[in-house]
Amino acid sequence: MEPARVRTDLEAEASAALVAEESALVERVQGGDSTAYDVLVRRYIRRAFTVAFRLLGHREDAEDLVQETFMILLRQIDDFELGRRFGPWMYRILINRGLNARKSRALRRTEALPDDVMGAEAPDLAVERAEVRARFRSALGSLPPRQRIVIELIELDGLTRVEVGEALGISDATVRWHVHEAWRTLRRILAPLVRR
Amino acid sequence: MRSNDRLRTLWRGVAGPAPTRGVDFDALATRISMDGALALRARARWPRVAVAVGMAAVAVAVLAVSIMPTHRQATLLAAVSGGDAPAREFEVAVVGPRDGAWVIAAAIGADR
Repeated sequence: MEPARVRTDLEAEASAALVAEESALVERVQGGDSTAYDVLVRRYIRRAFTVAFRLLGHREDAEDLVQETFMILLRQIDDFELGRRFGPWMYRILINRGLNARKSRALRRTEALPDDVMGAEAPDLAVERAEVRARFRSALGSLPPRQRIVIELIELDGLTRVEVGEALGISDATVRWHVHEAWRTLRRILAPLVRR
Repeated sequence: MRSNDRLRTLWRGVAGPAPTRGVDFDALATRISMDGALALRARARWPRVAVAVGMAAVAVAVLAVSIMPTHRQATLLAAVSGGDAPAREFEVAVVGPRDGAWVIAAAIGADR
């Protein structure tokens, strides 16, 4: 058997095992088992926070959104279709709530990235990085909210197109279109950076 | 897509991951789990509470029907319109602001 084929088969097996395990956990939660709920919360909390932060750009708001999302998941736990993956269901609720929150709430100012991300660097380099960062922020701000979250989840958080599609409840073709359009806009706005 | 690659490199260089330093994920997860445990407990209790409330409502309804008088009391309105006048107790029916004022005046007279 070809190595690529073997890898695909192994991935499919692992995915099926994950689906089965998570379905069992959800079934236990549906029966009132809070330990199973705790397992799901701890498994997804970091990834949920990352996406929430991408959406809201503020740590406390992101924490609130994560907490709210898990409570909604619990309220709607009977609607979960056993045999499907838990992650995309969670992301869908999180992203929809996050996009609504961003629209309706007067958000606090976007948090500056902390020192550990910026790193200790020479002042002139730090200034240049800050300028590039500001330009990216401004360019991303010109994208429609869904397009922005699609491109950020794929490019910065390493989610696959399929995962993003499942999370947002859109087809793979729509994800590809969003990626294409987002890059087109970013290229147009940020062309001076590339020419440097 | 060359310019994409250049932009991607620049972007990743300045964006970085979501800042997780300073976020106490363990405490956050514990808080969410505790809220969830409470919600699950309330969910499990809900059918029992609903049955208890239903049974109490039925008991009150049965009691109310059993103590309800079997014949109609004479009312003030009946007295005014030529029926039996009440001895001491009477009712006041407010039909409208103007009629209400008239009915209250009549009730005082009947009580004396």
